[in-house]
Parts: sequence; structure tokens; C-alpha cells
Amino acid sequence: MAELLKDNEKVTGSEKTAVNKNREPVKKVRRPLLEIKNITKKYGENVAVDNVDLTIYEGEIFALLGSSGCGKSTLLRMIAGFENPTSGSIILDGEDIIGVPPYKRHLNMMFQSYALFPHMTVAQNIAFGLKQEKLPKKVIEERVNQMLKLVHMEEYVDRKPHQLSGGQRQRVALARSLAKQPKLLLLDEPMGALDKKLREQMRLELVNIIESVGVTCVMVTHDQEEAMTMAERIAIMNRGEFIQVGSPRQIYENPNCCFAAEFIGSVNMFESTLITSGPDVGSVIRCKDLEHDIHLDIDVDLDDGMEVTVAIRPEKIYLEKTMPVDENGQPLKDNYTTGVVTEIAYMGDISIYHVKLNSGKVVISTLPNVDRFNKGLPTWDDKVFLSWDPESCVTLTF
Amino acid sequence: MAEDVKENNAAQAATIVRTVRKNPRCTRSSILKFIFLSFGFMFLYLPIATLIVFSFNESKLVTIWSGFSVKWYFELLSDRQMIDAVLNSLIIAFSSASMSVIIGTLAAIVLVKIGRFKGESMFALFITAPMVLPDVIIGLSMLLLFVAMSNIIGWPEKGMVTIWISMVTLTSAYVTVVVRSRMRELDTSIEEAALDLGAGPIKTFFTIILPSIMPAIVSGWLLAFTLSMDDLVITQFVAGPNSSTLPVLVFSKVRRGLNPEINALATIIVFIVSVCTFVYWLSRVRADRRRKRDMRLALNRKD
Repeated sequence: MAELLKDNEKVTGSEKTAVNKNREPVKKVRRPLLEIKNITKKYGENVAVDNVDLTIYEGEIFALLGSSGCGKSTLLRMIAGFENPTSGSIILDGEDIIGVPPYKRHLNMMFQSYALFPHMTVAQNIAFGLKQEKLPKKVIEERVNQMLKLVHMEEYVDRKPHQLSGGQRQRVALARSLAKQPKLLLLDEPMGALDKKLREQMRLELVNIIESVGVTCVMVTHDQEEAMTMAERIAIMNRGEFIQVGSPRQIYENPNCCFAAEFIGSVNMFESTLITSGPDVGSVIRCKDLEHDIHLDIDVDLDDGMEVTVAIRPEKIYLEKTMPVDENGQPLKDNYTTGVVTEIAYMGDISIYHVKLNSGKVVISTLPNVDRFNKGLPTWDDKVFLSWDPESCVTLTF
Repeated sequence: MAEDVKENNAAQAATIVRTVRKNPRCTRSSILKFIFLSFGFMFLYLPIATLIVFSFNESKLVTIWSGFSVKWYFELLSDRQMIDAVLNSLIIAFSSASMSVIIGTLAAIVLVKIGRFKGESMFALFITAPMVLPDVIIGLSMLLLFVAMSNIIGWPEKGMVTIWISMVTLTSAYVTVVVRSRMRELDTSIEEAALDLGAGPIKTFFTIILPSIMPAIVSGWLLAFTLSMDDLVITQFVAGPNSSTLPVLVFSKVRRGLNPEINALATIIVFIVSVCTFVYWLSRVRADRRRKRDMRLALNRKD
């Protein structure tokens, strides 16, 4: 077993270079570990999970992100075996696990409330799963020590759960779910029971531990920040369906629909009409709220005259008091509009500007405060020019 | 009553303290408080105090004091009938409490853990019905059942067994209620965690659920023990000639004329109960102090 762990460490060593902190989509071909096929779960007439397909690859950290009641927890509980799907199949490492009871599945779960056994010490909690495998006492002891070391809880072996703080409980829960060296680790709202400050600190620590062990991980969360910092890939769920699956960057930069764009971060949405588009001319989009057309360099490949929504992130809108110019110093012909600053929210690192356009629509734009104070940027009631790069616009059809 | 007095008192104390801010030890309110408290305690404990005092009475008459003596205690120890009654009571209380803990826990598991089934609410109603039914009715119905049974199959004869069965019927209702409410509070994810870690359902029950509901089972047992130790009405109906329990014996003696032996017995019981209560209180205080210290310990450590 100790050898196995060493092997794992070697693998993670090489992976660490691939899985860097930016979490670019990993190019390396990975083996699929968990395949979910056409899973549906109905409670009477209510459809909790609606015909979902998902493949999770070995060694990745995957997040199911959605608001409460979107079916993400139900999906996780079906993987763990606490709920039976109405139809579909779940294949873990080549083996169909539908109908296999939770105590016979080679995966472990860390619960939202941690679910530590209150009458057992930290060591007994961690050893519980190993005892069920009827391992020799010495092996269990060794593994428990290994786990305690991994989560830096060696001093607390003999404490009971109620003698630990929230963060310490989480570490014990993690150690307990990793002790059996599962093929797959499930995390249910891992930071749900922690306060905000501790949450931010534990996020990276949790990822570091998971990566050092090299276990594949599926987590459920409603916190987009948590999903983006911890996961390599995210699935946004709504009403039992996947809206978009991709890396955090893909989802933020290229959302595939209005729901995904609005769910992650904040965004300005412009309901508009496609005027023309073609491979040579790019695309021209007209919005009644904007004084000038949106002109994209790319061909959006849609029918002319179609209703589209253009999404622009607040940090990608430039705010200036003077007429914006292009790289040649010529005034812009399109991709800009004018408005009046109505609100400025000072957030420390950035300021959030609310700019009212002539049509009455309020556009949000964020500026780093370094600029704001150095350059004397616009203030309340200033008339400002809003402009954007063509590549900052995302055209959405639904 | 005592609470009422205290509340009254607190309200008065509040108004007075607001107006008169003098030495808090000698205000009118503190004197009033003392008087009310004394009345409350007297109301509750004067009868028991009288009983204890009269247990050392020399006279044969319970109500007339004639001098200090401990002779009734020796008399009590040589009273075979009385000792047998105490033993009977203890045996029945112990065995019926143990049985009703098993039945009550099983019933609680059925009600909480097994999902909805047909007739569930009916089952819940019937299992707890003995709590609200008058004892006379339970006793009478038990008697009728036992008579009918012994006519048909020749079993059971009136005696310890019939008392035991009746007591189990009564007390398992209480145990069910106590254990069920504890089980409802139990975090289901603890059970799921055990399953997730590879323990089967039976193993999970014995290693995780049972230890978690143990406090409720213990208090259910104690409740059942006290109830059956104390029962007079039902036992009167189903007791046989040689199976008098302590309450039955005392009650029959009262009708034939009381002697201070009863006082001596009551004093011993009061003494035992007080010692038990005191030990329990002390252990609670200790546990509470330990818990507070643990919490401080956990909070002081940064993660």
C-alpha cells in the first residue's frame, strides 16, 4: 500500500507541471474514470436530474456548480449510491455501479457537515473505513499516521470531533475519506460549513492535498469562486440539466448562453439584432441601447436579421472622458457609446461604475483603482465614452 | 406553583431594583425573594421532611411523637413480607425496563428509519396510546385478556409474569417516544458516512447509530424503571397472591392501619434517590465544565 502511494506521488509530480495553477485545459490524453450516461432521476413528477451525460477523467478535479435545487447534489448522491437513478448508467473504472450499495463502491465522500462520528476520536474516525476492509492492525495504524501527516493533524489524534474547530474537522473528514485510497473522491459543498476567511485559505490547501494524493475528485458547490479556484473543469447545472461544461476560463470568456454568462461573474447584456455577417466583412450588430453599432471582426455564422444578445464583461469596457481612438489615433466609428456616471462603488482594489446610457439602460464597468487615482478618471455625473474591443463581445443566441 | 412564585418575584425584583439602587443585599426585594423561596421549598419538601422525622418516632402511632428511636428500621429489616415486596418491585422494574427498551428502540427504528409504509401513522398512534390511556382501563383490559388466555390456553397465571407483561406494554410507549425523538435529531449523514466507508447496514447500526442514541436509551430505561417501580393501579389488577409489589403492599397496609415501618422504608428510598440525583448532578457539572474547556481549547487553536 505504501508503494502504491509512492507511485501516486510520482504521477502527481509529473502532472503538477500539466495542471498548473491557471488550470488551462490539459492537452494530455487521460483515461476516463467515471462515465455517466443518460442519467435521469425523478421524484414523482419532479425531474431532479434530466438525462445528463458526463465523463470524468483520471486525476482531474471536477466541479458541479449550480444554485440550490438544480440537481447537483442528487447527481453526487447517485454517484455515491445513496440515491438510485430512474434510468441511465454510471460506470466507474469500467464497472457499472448502478445497484451496487454504497458500502461496496470504491469511492468515498466528504460530507457537507463532515459527518464525523461524534463518539470516536480523530484516529478512530480515520481508521473506521480501514477496519471495514479487515486490514491487519499494523497496516491500519500506519495508514492512519500517514493520513494525519497529510492533513497536518498529528497532534490531535486523540481529540473527539467536538474538541476541534471547523477547519480541523474538515481536515479530519478529508483524511477519513482519503484513507481508503478511493478511486474517486466526492466532495459535497466542501467549504459550506466554514466562515469566509477560512474558506479562502482552505480552498488552496484542499486542492494541494488532493493533488498530492492524485485522486480524481468530483465536487458540488454553489459558490462560483470556489469552483473556479479549485476545479479544472466546471459543469454549470440548472433545473437538472448541464448548461455548459468546460474549464473556468472557457466558461468565463466564452459562455454558450445567457444563463452561463450571467451565472459566472457579472456581465452587461445587450439585446440586439444581427445586421450582416460574412467571412470578409465580419459581423455588424445593432442594439437600440447603443448609439453605434457593434462591429466584430469574425463571422458569427448566423442568419442576418436574427435576434442576438451581446455579452460584455464589465472589466472589458473602457471608460474615458475623451473620444476613444483606435491604434492609429483615428476616432472610433463604432464599438462605442456615451453615457453619464450615476454611481461609483469603491471596492478597494477596483471601482465599479454604473453608467446610464441615453436609452436609460445602466451599464456596469470596472476600473482598477490604480488607474482611477493616478489618471484622474471620470467621477459622478461626468459624461463618458464607453468603448470595447471587438473580441471582448460574446454573441449569444439564447 | 414554585415557578409561578419565582416569576412573580423576579418581576417585582426588577421593578424595585430599577427604582431603588441601594445595597442589593438588604433591599425589600431580596427579603421578599427569600420569603417566597422559603414558601416554595416548604410547600414541596415539608411533607417529606415530616416523613423522615417521624420515621425515627418511637410510638406505634404514625402521627404522635413520643421519642427518638431507630427500632422501626430494624423492624423493617425483619419484615419478610416487606422485603419480598421490595425485591419483587425491583425485579419487575428491572426486567420490564430492559424489555421495553428493546421493544421501544425497535419501534423507534421502524418509525424513523424505514420510510413510509402502509399503516405507519396507525402504528405510531397505537404504540404511544398507553401513555394517554387511563391506567384503570389498561389494567382492566389486561386482566380480561389474561383471564381469557388462561381459560383457553392455560397461560399465564396471575403473578410476576402478568405484571411484567403489563408493565412492558405501558413503558415501551414512553421508551419509543424518547428514543424516537433522539433518532429524529440524528444527522443522517453520519449514517451515510459509515455506509460510504464500507460498513454494511447492520454494522452501521451497531457501531454508529446505537452509540449515538445510547443516551436516549439509557434515559428511556430509567423512565421505564421508575414508572414500573411506581405503578399501583395496573399492578393491582394483574397481580397474583404471592406477587405483591411495594406500592401494592403499602397501599393495602394503609387500609389496615399504618405503622412507622413505612416511614422508615420511605426514608431509605428518599436517601437512595437523593444520593443518585446528587451523583448525577455532580457528573453533569463535571461534564459541562470539561465540555467548556474543550471548546475553549478548540477555539484557541488557529487552523
